[in-house]
Amino acid sequence: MNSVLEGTYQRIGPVIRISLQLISRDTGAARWASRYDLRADDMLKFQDDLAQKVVENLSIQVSAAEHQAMSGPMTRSPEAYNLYLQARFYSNEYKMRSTLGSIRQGRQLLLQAIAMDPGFAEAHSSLSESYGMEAANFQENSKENLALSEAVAHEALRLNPNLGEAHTALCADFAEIGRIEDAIRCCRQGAALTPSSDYAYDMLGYAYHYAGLVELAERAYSRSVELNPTTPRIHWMHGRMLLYVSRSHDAELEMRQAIAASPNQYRVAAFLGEFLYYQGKLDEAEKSLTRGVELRGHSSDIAPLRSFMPPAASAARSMRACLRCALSR
Amino acid sequence: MADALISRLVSLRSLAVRPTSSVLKYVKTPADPGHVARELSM
Repeated sequence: MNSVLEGTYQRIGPVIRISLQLISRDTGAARWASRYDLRADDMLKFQDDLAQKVVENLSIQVSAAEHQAMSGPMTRSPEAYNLYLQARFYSNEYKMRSTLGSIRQGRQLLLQAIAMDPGFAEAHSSLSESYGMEAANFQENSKENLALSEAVAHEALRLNPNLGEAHTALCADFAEIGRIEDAIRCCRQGAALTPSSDYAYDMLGYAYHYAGLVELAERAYSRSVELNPTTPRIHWMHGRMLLYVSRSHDAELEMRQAIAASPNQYRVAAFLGEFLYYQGKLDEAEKSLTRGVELRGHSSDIAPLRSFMPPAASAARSMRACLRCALSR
Repeated sequence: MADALISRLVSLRSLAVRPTSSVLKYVKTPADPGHVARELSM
């Protein structure tokens, strides 16, 4: 059973008019349609009610624990919830564009949300992910950011031990410091609790990869792509694994697929350059890396230097400089 | 709104929900639901 939920909203003075329909993929017919007139204070409860309506109209079996997780309020503060949703926008933006500014703008909003409601577990979880993403991808203050990420993830789990996103955030922290067994345990828990999260499977694949469990990593990465066919990130995560298991040509193909879908993503271009470099395709690598640098622009949002460079070879000196330029600060 | 709903439904085992980042582009360029479903491999 495959459906698309389509909706529009319109502000009419203090009222927000929301029109929704749940459409069958196969027939194009509406399974259900409705219109609501709401005021800002109604929004928090409405979103919970709407999730319930979708479940009812798709006739989905929901366990008592799932029902509780879905219907319980994340926070009783509409202001904190609004800040949290705004922060999630920046988190999603980061996952598509890899810009440090997105991480930091989102983090400010999460800190404000937590100041309003210190018991807001989901905001803690997102904050942990924010610190962890910065630690893993940007060198400045990475040690401090990683420590903050771990501390905030533990706080999120203290507030709600069944919060899948917090388990996944903790997995990312453990993977970053080489605690791979702990990372796998947390990622499995994260994926079990949030089975539609492409990021949970992305991180699970990463943890399996570093444990040398390549087949399991492949399965996790495949599931992540199934859940989100549009993400550029999963392609360089998977491509990097292919490179490390001496499948550099497959890594190149993976990135060519990604660049067709995301031609303006600087890290996609840079990783393609890296994978070409390892096959000795130096001219093509240089073009791709140069493109990555151009796309990155003058922003300070630059990923850290990765330790993929081989021992120095004079012929590769200029290429190394180019790689550093594309992928390092 | 869409993201709020997705974040609620992501924990259900019997339902596969596409993440918000995969549907952001349809905010700027609305598309036929059937096309969206195919594009997101549903």
